[in-house]
Amino acid sequence: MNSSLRARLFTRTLVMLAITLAVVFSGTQLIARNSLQKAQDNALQAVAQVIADSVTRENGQLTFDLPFEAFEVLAYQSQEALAYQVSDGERILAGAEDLPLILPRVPGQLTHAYTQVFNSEAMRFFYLNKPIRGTQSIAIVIGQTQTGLVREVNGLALQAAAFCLVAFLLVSGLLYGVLNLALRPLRSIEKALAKRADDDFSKLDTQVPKEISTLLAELNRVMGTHEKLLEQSRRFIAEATHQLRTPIAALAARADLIARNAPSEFAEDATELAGQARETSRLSHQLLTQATLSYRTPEKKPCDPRELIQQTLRRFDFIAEQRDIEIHFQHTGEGTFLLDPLGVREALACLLENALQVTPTLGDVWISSRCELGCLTIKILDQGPGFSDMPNQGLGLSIVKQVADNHDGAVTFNHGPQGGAECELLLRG
Amino acid sequence: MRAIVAGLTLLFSSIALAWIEEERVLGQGTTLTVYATYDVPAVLPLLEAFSNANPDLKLIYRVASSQDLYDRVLRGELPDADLVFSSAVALQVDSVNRGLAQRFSVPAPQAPWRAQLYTLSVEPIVSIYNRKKAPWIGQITDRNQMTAQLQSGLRILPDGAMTYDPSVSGVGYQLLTQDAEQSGSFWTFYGELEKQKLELACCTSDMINAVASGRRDLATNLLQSYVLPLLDQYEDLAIKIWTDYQLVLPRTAWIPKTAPNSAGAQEFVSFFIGEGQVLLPQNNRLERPTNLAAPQKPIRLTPSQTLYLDRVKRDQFLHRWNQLSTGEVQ
Repeated sequence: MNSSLRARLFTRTLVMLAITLAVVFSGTQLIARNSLQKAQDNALQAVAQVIADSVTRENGQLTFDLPFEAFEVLAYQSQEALAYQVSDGERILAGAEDLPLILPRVPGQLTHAYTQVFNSEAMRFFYLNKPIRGTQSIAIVIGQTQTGLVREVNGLALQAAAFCLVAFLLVSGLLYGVLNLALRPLRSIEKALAKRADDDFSKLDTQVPKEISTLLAELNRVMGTHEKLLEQSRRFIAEATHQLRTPIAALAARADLIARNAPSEFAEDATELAGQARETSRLSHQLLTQATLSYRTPEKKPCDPRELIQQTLRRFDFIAEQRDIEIHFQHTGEGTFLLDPLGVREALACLLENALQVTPTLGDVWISSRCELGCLTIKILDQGPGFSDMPNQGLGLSIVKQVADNHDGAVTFNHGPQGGAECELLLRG
Repeated sequence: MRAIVAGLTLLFSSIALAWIEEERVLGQGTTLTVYATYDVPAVLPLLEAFSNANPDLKLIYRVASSQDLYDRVLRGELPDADLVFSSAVALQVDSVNRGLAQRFSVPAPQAPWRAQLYTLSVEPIVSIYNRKKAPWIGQITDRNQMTAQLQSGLRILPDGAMTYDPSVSGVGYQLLTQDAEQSGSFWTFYGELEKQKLELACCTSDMINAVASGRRDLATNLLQSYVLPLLDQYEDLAIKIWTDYQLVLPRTAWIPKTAPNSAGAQEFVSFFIGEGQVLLPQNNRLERPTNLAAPQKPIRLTPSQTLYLDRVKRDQFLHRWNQLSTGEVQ
């Protein structure tokens, strides 16, 4: 079902072509056979006619000649066995007595050709009746085997088959070329779409035949619609990011401030309110980050992985300091790497945020990165409880996976060698 | 009792094979039975060579008259026949034409008929004359010239001529009918010979003796093979080959469909037309020398040959032949 349009068109047309050629071949064979059969009938008739013409009446007796030369002419044409019979309707006057005599179906018909087995071989017979006087007549039957005819027909059939095969190959080649030509507009559409960016919904301006112009117009219309929807989504996300992120962050900061300064009777509620505000801020940040990453095309550019990671780590200096957690970073390898910096930063942020969250106060978080064989491997090891008690990473993990996919990479989680969890993010530049 | 049974068996076999003129058995092993008309002495070196080359074959070579052979083949009385080898072209062609032969393929210098009837050797046909009594015949080149001489009205062949009696001799009938078909001057020639005096003979030896002894001046349509060995014996005997054309009689062979040892028969045919040819007299070989005195006209292996086996055709020919003596034929 998934075979190509060209293959389907080609094979079906080939089948039709093969059928046509088979019909032509069979027809040629039939025509050759009929033609050669007719020639043999004519030759047999000629000899029968010579015998008939030699009939005379001498002293009341019918006499005739069996002309050696005429029979020799038959022999020169092909090496065939021969049988003949001359009779006057009552007696056999000459020739074989046991010939299979088949009279014409039409009464009064004077000549008639038929094929019949004689002496274990198919023979072609010609019957000729020569009226003499009144009801008297002489019937002459002369027959030949058809070895030469069969050989000739087979030879012609082989020639026809050879020509048919050549024609078949030529037409197949031409057909293949024609199909390629006919499908070229479709292929040009395919190529134009293939080399586009994922978010490129601009109109295709390929010149196409009128048979697929409607298809192209419909394709352009659908792409136009999607372009508008994408643009709307992007605007919405940008607007939401702009409108929500800052007030929610401000709300969380205000809640923290209130919690710190709240009278003792409200301290517990205020602290809980501040925690919920921080969680809301975190979730809304991740949600908007994921939406941004989803509705944009990753923009990869040469980056220094060490610097990129260090930039991200700096965002967490304050939190680490607050909780007396030391972040250790080690990088191996030199040079730049083709990365989507925004995506990688957000993915690292998610992983670091999680590591810091599960690592107890005065603990350590180790980050190591390595550039090797076109791959950037970033490992983050925490001192948390491991996977069993890890909080639901939710949107964070989803963001990390998306970034890994965008870089043909993968994310894996393992138990740390001395407890904790180790996350490995593999990215290909 | 055992002696009586053995005696009776021998007696019945002798009666059953009474029509066989000569038999030669060579070697031991799988039997290969060849029925032939070719005399044993003429082919013995070839038979021995074949037997030596095929030590696992027991070759039974039986010689019979061509008509006897033909009649028995048609009646299905020779179930042991692996090969039928005869010079009677018409009878051979007729047997094959009736669908009795099997097809086989061996490389042959002369194309077989329907891959069934193979020419194994040839017999050139010659005339002979008595060089003492009719030395002028040596100066005559072709038969038209001879006919013109005969038409002079003089009695140039005082003791007359001889040829086969076509009503008695099978080979004579074959040669005369073929001669009649090949030559437009046939009837004139024999009409003139008849005027000089034409004696009809049953056998080749009668003609050779008559000419060699000087009882007759000329004899026509003889197998050269029979004449050549006698040239040294009779110094007055001379061969005449008319330069207009020379009839050549093929000795042909076919393998019956019922042959018990058709592979052996094919081997025999292959040997005969291959390495065996050098063991035949020069004039019987299929490879003809290029410096022949006359264009050769081999009797063709075609079903037309069977026409003269037809009673109507035979009666017509013999009727016309007999009219020679009355001078009605021109």
